[in-house]
Amino acid sequence: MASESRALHVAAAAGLAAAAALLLAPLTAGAQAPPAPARTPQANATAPPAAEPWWAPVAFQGRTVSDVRVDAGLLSVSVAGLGEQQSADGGVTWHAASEPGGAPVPAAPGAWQARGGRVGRVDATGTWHADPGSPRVASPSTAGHGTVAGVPGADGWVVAVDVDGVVWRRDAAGHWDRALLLLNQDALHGAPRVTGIASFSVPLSDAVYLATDGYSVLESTDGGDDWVRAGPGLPDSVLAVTTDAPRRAVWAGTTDGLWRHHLQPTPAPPVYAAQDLRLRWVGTAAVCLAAAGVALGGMLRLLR
Amino acid sequence: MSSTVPAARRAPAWHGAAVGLGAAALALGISLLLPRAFSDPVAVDPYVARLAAVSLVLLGAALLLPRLRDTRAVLIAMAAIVAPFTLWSATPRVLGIFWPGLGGDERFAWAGVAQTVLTLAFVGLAWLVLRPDRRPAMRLARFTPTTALICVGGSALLLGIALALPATWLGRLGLPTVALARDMPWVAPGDVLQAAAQELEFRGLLMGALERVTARPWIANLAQATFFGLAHIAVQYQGPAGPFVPVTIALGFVLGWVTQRTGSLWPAIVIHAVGDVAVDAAVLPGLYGF
Repeated sequence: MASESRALHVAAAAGLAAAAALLLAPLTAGAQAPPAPARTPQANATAPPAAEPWWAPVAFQGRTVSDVRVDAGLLSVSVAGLGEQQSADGGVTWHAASEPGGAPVPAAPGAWQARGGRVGRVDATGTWHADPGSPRVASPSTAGHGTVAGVPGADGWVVAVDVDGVVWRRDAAGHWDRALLLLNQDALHGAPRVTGIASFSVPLSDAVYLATDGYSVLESTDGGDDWVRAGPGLPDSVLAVTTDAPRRAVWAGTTDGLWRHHLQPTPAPPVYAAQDLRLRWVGTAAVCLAAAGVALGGMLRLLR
Repeated sequence: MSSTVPAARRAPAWHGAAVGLGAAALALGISLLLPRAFSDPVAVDPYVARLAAVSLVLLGAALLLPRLRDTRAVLIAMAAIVAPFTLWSATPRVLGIFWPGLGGDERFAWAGVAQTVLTLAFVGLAWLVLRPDRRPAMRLARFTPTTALICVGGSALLLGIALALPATWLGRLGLPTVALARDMPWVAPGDVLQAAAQELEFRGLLMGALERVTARPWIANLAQATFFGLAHIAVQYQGPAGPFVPVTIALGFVLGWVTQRTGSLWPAIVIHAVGDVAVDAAVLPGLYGF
């Protein structure tokens, strides 16, 4: 009994001391607010217009937009029931395009492109060279952005989608690895189709965007190794995605119209750093002690 | 041992456990929710240290005051749930301060070690200070071929259900294979340790303590499952925790039922660990990191 009693007292004292330390430690340590979680920031990202959501609807809501292209500031989309539509003012006004489809854009030197089912790079003379070990990819529909995207600011890094919908990435050393394997949507449906991949060709953002017909838009900011869901607000079915450097925007064609994302810093949990943080810690400690006191009083009364 | 306890003493013991559990729930609830009304919860207390403090105060008082003897088992369990979680959540940052070169995945794994060690310390405390007829059955000694079969079958069932449910509900969109090869050597052991610690806490200490004072095992199971679900409110600061609570209550009840039926904690540990590893492998985080 004596040893049990001693153990009880030691344990109780340890518990109470630990409780006191837990409550007081932040005060003695200066009550620093925790840093924001480590996330790769978007390079040169600027604040969006006030209160703009991550994705915002722009036009053709209720209609399917199956293709989106930007060429020299001219935005072209394919809209179900309306055909080819174009806008020169960032989606404010639209008119029917004179000729459907977009003309292929000549690749800039150093650009990565898919040709003949392989990924390759265009050299300074404009000649395309297949990259050894590249996965088998589908030929792009227009403008060469459909299945391959270079990683902005990381020379030699490429993300590509093969014919089976598996996402691959190439590192600077020329190694190709499977980077992302999409899972089935549910018991009845298979993995969603990857409908597009895009990145900025100028160093505005380090993100690579992956459009899917089921999981909206996924984003990688480390060259295709890690992926996050980056489609809040978007319909699940995204059929096309493209970047628009002059407007610092990403456009997405969906089953519910055309949507736009303006480059903005990746959201992070709020960090509270007000001067009265120390006072708030005292308040928190007081609440804890009061709560414990109430509970103890209640227990003692009920177990009398 | 519980069968040797005279029936006439069970009612007070049950009463004491219920009072202890209710008082702990009240105090932890106030401590969790009230500060959120006047402060930013992320910055004021990112590691829910306040909950650990309250649970340790209650446990300390219960150990000191003879009148609270019948609350000791459940208050040990509550402290075992909260304090190791605080340690787990704070460990990566503490390690980052003292060993800046340590990677995030390694810190996560070491956090699992810290949580498990502290949980085992509470198991030892329960063994040391509780009367034999009040000690929770931890059910760690039993591992038969049937147990192994249930481990495998239960894990497969869990993964099958997760794959059958809509992916967007769960966020299990894909496998980032390059990242998994980089992270899993540290993250997977961290997941396993965390799952083991939580099973020791909820299906071991808490359910075991309640089973000692009630003749109906399902009541003990329902109580621990409820706390298992509610605990996920406390830890989900950065996202909407509400929809997650019923799911975790149901999962906790099933794991408790398996533990009671098999007489072994191992199936719950294995199934929980497989689930945690699967979540880390296949759930792609959203913009806010969850």
